[in-house]
Amino acid sequence: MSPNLTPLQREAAWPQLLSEIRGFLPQQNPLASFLHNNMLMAWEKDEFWAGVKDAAALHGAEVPRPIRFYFKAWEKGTLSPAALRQSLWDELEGRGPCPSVGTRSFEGIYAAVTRAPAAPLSTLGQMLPHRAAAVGAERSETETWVFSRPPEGPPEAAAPFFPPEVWHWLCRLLESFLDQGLSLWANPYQGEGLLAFVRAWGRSAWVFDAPWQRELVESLPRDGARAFILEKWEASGLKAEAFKKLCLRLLYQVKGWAGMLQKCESEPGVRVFRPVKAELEELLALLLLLIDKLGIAPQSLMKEEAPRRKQLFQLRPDALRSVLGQLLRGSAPKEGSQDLERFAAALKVLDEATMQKVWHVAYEASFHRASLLRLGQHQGARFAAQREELAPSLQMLCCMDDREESFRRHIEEVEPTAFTYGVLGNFGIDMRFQGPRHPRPRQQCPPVVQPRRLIRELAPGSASRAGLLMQRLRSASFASSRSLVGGLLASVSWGPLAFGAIFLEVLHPRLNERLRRVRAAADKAPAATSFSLSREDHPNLGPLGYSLEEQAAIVASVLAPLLPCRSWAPVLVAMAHESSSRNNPFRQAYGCGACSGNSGAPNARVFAAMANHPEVRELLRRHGIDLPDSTRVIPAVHDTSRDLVRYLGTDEAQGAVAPASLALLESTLDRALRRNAQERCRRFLDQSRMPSLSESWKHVQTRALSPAEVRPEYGHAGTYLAVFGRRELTRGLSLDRRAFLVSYDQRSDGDGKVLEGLLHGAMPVVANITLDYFFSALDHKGFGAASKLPLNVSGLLGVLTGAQGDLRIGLTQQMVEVHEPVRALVLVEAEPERVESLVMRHPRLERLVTRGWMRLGVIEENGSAIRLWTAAGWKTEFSIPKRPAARGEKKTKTEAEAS
Amino acid sequence: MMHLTAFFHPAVLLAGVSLFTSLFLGLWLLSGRPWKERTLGLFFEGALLLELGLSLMTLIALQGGQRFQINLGPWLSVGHFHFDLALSLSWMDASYLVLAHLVLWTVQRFSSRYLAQEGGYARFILLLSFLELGNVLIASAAHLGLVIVGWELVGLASCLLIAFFVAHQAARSQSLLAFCSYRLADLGLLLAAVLLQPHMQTEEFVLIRPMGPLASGELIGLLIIVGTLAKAGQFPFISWMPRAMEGPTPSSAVFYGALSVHLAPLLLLRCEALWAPYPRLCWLLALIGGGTALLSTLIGATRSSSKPQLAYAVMSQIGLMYLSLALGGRTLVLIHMLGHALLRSAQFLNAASLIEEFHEGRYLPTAAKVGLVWRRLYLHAWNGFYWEALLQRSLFKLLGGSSRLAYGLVQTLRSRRKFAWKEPHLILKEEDL
Repeated sequence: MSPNLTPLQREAAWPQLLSEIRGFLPQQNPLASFLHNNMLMAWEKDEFWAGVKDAAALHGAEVPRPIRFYFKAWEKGTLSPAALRQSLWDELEGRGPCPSVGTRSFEGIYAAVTRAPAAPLSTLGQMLPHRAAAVGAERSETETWVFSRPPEGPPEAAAPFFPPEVWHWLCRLLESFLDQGLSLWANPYQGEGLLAFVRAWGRSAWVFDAPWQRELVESLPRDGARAFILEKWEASGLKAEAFKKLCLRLLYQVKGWAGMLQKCESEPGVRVFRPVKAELEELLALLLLLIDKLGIAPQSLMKEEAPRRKQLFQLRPDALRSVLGQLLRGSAPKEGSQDLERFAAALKVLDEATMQKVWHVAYEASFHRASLLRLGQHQGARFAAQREELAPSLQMLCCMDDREESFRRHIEEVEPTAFTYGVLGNFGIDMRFQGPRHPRPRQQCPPVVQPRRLIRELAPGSASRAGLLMQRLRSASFASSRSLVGGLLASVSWGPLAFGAIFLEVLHPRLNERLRRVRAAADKAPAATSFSLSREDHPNLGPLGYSLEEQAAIVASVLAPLLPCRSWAPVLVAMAHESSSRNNPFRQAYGCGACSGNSGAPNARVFAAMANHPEVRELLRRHGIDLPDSTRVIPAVHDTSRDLVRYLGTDEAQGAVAPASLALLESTLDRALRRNAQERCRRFLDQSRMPSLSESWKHVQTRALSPAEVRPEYGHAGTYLAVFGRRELTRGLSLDRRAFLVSYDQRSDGDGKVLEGLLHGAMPVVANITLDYFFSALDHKGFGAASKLPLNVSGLLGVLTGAQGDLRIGLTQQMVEVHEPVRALVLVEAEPERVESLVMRHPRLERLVTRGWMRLGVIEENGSAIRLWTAAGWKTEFSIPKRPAARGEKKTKTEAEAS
Repeated sequence: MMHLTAFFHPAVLLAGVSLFTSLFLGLWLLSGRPWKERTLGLFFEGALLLELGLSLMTLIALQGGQRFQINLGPWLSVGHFHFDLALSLSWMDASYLVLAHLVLWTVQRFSSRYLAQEGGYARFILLLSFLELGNVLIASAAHLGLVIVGWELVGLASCLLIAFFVAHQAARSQSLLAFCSYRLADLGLLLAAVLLQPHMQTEEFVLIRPMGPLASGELIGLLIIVGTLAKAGQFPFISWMPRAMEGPTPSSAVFYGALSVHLAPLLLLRCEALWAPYPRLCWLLALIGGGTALLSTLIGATRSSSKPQLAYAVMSQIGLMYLSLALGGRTLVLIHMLGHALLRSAQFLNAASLIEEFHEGRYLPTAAKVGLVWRRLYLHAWNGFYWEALLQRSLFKLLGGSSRLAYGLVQTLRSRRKFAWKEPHLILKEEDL
């Protein structure tokens, strides 16, 4: 493009440019409908490290983590020497296997890679950041004693180039403008646009206004924000790409609010309580005007920031020579000798950022290798055929979620005849659901899916008059207690009650919960509510319910992975999951990802109602699924933070099941839940001793029920693995709550349609969750929401750090503190060609896999080999030498051939 | 003369236990000895429960309406200023102390979970113990000299907790703002204590009952009123509190929801005898209180984040307390004060659940539309009635200028000393680096 665009060209280019800018803004939803996403989604088109570097510059984040983090992993032994060797080798020498070295020390590896002799390396060791000191320096900043200096280094990600008073004003302006119902007075300018608000604000200026206030208002754009932006573009004389960069730099000064404004504009569902006339162009115009008035030249913002790539070794040539001299155990090499040049070149390459990357790649590879080794050695598939002959006593459909991994493992351990399957937690249902107490319907399917239908649950009767009155009083208490006279009345009447409630809750959360249940029971809990599944078109609400054929298709799509099993158990549990926590703005982040962060309970109920319908069963037989009449589907929901299971079925449905089966189900779940709680407590409690079953169960109850708890559970922390395949591949293998497990059996999938549905449905979810945790853990200040302790709910949209400032995006430090930032590794039990063609057909998955945002692998037949995708083709990572085949294995093969 | 039985006096026991707790925690932390934070927390909790029990017993024993008074003898003597270590507890003070320890206990339990795995829990507890000691001193001191000690301790703890996250720039500057506001107002209290001293006689508890009409009584009353303004966030100190919400949530709850802000009406109640006889002071008090209540209610109605919104609500209620103090509603103020402290600390502790409450339909979003007439008022309130802008343009400029001057002076002095101390072999030249 020529440097001098005509105004017409600019006008024509602008819409495209604006939509690109929109793409680069943070895509985070309001916390009430929080969804995990890759906050660097716009950079996915780039190669991973290049994209991360670009994004980090814009976000003000530091990547990868400081080297001392990796040193710690090295000390703990999670980072394997072989992986580090390979990573260094790749960085310095390019491709090819690294020669093996017999030493475990970093210095030795380094020396081997740079081909320097490995003998006396003390000097080199000293030049590296000292390990002991580095590990010792890992103290949290809050630990710093008041008398000592504040910790060094850039304290905040946001180092805005606006003066603080202007920046705070801007944040407050946006907060007030976008507010969804927290302020007692609705902002009267919300319906008129941001610039109208600023104009009115400026006109109200009084004697003591800031000097820039009046000037700002005088030059506010009169004929539309777009014309103003184009004018500024012309004045700046920048090319399109450079102007886009300028706009992004400006918008990233208030990235949280800018992203939220963008959301409010593009997704009307976001502005639930108050309508806002949000336009990104208006904000952009305001920002351009601000830098103009503050005398900041656009060109000065365009300057590339000084590279933060510090040289790791800053040595003068003579010092370098003396070091090398010691290395070579004798005289110093002469000027210009080959060794010296080689060493110097190596040192030059290894600046701090590169070293961090080398360490990080090695860190990830260590985790991936460990998983591959465990999966490869497990060889569970050998017993698949024997297991298929067993008559199951219980069958359970669980969510693919990594938190259900341990739960399923414990169920199978306490009851060997129980079979569990991993499915998407929405049970194939794409609906919006409105409960009797919900003000609005909620999306109960993955965020990428457009819900087709609405299902409403109707309350059977009206609540008692006293209950209604209490409800009304409670809802009025928010506003009135903050008003003048209302505050006085609330203090003298209701204050002690409010305090008493939280007092008991803080002092003994479990006792409080028990009392609450007693009260609820005394309150005559309403009879079980019901919902209608029948298909109809409502004039206002749109399409409702599903026809019987649709229901059968939904049930069939979920049950397909179970097909190869011989018989059905009398009890088939549809186990959804949810997570309870108190006083937690990030509550939605712990829900079921396949249900858009909501509880999966409605889906389990709807699924069970569909699958238990006699006519649906009749239709299912046409799909080749013969559910016997003795098999009942029981809906239940697993509370992942409290480790409780709630049964959602009606009494009569429960009554249709044999009591023995029900008793078995209950006792199995009871034991499995306690064991699961014990496993989870490993991360919560002092690790010096093993907590008992009941102790750990009580502990997780308290954790989830206490209003003071900042870590009700660790959510998806630690996850990086996904396995699409039969349960036998992983049954009996502890994957440490790190793996998404999706049941898939290629024998029932001749044309690959099932696999396509699973990969295209679940792989983006895996990528979103792992990358969200990945970046928040990488730099919880730049990418994440920093510490949860001083967070402050703002505008019912999100949280701020402290009293004022920008809206925080990403996850908090407390959510990711145990997370190891590792990119996802997706393993599929299927033929490599099929997997490759399916993944490459999906544009986003293709980008993710080919540009290094996640790794893809296949598990060969019966787990005999695992191969990973590389740009140069499938590379065998792990293989088991052929052994005399076990009885079961032979059978499977012949069966596969037969089918 | 001190007698051994003096130690079993309720006021002495209360003050002594909390003094011991603070000293012990402080010295222990200074010694750098590792102690499990959980153990420190349990120690503090034990002390709080003991104090709660003591204050409850005192309250029960005091029902007759008398007071516990004791003079432990001379405490501070500078020139011809003498202060005795004298304590006095009335039924009102004891009921405040019961409330204070109840809230502190809850907050301590809350934070032992909230801050459990974070660094800095020990520091948090120490500052909480300062708050507790300050509260006990203010509620039981018999003269302004002791009150000031407690007052300063609470102020110090408040500032250090605002800056709890030291690495956060905003936290540091808001802490400084609070500190400056405290200093400015506390000057009033200090001057009042100095002016009051000549009227004080041993065995007498002038805080409650001055000896006859005082010479500069009206001035002393004015100074005391001024001294209470910053802590209560009353006009003109209305800008610091909403910005002070930078610390962890339990500290906001215990300081700005309950135990720091309500010290001001408590002190005014306790030394009612020093200001209530002067009608002009009552008018002033009513004006300040009513004005602040009105202003901060209006400003608060335009705020969209939970904790600053609560801070404005607190300020407006305390304004109402000032107003009713001026009108003579002593009992009402006490009830209002206790209920309000409970209400706000509960609201602060629950502040993080607001998103959930609204989206679950338990709270209904306020749909208050601002009419045309109110639109102008909305903007003025949104701007905080320009008070901050005024401060920034006048006071802070002045402060900034003088601090820059002081900084320059210090730098000059330091550079001179450095120059004198410079050792030749330590000077690094450019080419060495």
